[in-house]
Amino acid sequence: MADIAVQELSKELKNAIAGLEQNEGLKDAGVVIRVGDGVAWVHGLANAGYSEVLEIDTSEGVVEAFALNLMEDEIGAVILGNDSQVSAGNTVRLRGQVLEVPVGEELLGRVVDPLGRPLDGGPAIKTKLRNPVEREAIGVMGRKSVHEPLMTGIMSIDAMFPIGRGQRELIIGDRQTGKTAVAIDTMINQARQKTGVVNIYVAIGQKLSKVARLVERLKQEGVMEQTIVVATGPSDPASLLYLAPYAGTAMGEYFRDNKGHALMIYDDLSKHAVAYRQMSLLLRRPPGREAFPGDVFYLHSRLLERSAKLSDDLGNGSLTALPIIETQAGDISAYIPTNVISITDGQIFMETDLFNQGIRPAISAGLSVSRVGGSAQTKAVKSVSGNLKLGLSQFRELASFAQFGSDLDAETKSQIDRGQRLTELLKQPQYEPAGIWEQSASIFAVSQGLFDNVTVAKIKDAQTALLTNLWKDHKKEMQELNKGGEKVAVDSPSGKLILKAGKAAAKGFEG
Amino acid sequence: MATKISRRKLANWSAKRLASGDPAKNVMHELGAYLIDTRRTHEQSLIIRDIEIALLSEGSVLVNAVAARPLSDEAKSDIQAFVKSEYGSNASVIIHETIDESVIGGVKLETPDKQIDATVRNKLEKLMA
Repeated sequence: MADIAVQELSKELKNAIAGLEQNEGLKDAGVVIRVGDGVAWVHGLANAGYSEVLEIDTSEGVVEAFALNLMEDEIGAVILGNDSQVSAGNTVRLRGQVLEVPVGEELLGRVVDPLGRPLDGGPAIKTKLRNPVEREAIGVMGRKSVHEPLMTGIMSIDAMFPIGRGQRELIIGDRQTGKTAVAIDTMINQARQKTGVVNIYVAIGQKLSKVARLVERLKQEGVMEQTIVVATGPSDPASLLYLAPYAGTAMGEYFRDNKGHALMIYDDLSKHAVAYRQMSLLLRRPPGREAFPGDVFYLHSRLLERSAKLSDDLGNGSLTALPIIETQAGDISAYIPTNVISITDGQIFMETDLFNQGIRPAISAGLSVSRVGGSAQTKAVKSVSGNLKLGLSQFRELASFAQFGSDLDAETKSQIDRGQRLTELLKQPQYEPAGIWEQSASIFAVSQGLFDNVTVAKIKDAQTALLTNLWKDHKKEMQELNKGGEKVAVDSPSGKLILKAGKAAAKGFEG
Repeated sequence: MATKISRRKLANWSAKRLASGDPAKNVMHELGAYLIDTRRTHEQSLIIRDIEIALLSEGSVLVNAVAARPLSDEAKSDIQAFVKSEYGSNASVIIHETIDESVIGGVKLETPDKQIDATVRNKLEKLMA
């Protein structure tokens, strides 16, 4: 036994020496002439390509960087590690490849940094494949229009602003308005409804305590097995924050290109733009509006264009994106919010006022929109949510107007009453995404006026009673309804069941 | 305001003059005067590196060979042949020898734009990594 081990060791050593003896030939080399603030200026390396990886030989080992400024006399490279190790005079070598990250199913359930290195204390990640961080988006012929739903489990979104697989839907709002909560619920819903959609959560400069809490919650909910978390904290170099969404997208593209479905959450792109602004200013690129560089639009457009629904020829996979943008005092006309609004296929606007009134999720019916999701909505939800958005917007307008006087005509009064009940119904606690049948039944009951006599405060109780009764007495029919293929109408089988159960449920809560 | 002439252009100009047979002293004198006039003397070491790179396209390769002990004539001719195999057989190779005992053994060749580290120290570092 010992003999075999010695023989193996001897073979290993011989191989190692043979590998080192191989003449690799002359390699391109340059020298660091200046370094500071995470940027190294390199002399030489005339053959370096844009975004190519450079290896800087320091006294403490090799530090990676990537070339971003290719100028006549020098190269500006952004350091990916600790810049204090790099000093002027260090030799720089070209690796001959652009940045790549590990991709594959081996990453599921892991928390990694933008270079694919584990952050969760788990074993090293060994994947068969590595893909470039920056890739060109799929062309026109490789795409298909968005037609499959991506259910978030949040009633107000799925009913009024439906999201389809392959869509880019922006979540925008001030701080503390529940933007991340919407994204987390969507991830949880993918696991609860067993949709098979892989979640990739990209934390860009988020507090690591928040990321740790999120990972813990995802583990509790059993979602982590189908989730990859790409995490960067506020203390990470700007280069890593800049890379994070591209690296996460490369990981998501693996599933998209292999006939799978993935959901990208970029939390948040405001911090991403700020990290890029920092890098650009340090690279001495000219500042533009709000000191952002001229290509800040391209920064996000090339990222979000990689989300797509693939054609049948390419396997029908999809990559859906939910980018998050934080606004300041509700100003959606600032530079980065307008850019991302124009790039995405709609936005969900979260309002501070609604949040403070206890209407959570605090989604603004008037400012939110989904441009392509309508064709992806399930028949069941579509049939009950016809003019929900319009009704709710009108109600909020009327409600604010009605504050000035009490003399209202009967029609306006009934509109306000219905609106109040609808608003109450659409309130939803966090971590409790609803299935298609729950959404359809609840909205159908209110829109048919079954809960008109229920006091507003007891709407949620009536809804719970309705859903409990339906599940208890008609489980099979509700499971069928949950598939989403059946319309819900007054004369449809499921509609009749809901009407009957709704009337019974309302009786206990009439005021 | 006059446009700043890039180092690369200055280096190409100097290399062409040197390759055409102008005495190095004259070329460097003119270059030095220009750098003083334009207050760019701090760039002198970078310009020398750029001239070395520019001389490559004129067929001259300056090689710095770092070894632990003085190189034998045989080793020098091997280095000449190796560099010619990389830069073309017509290249004129000028070897500058640097003795550095810390490399332990082997040789490290540095040309203006490339390098190869075949020293024992480098191999040991790779084994340790």
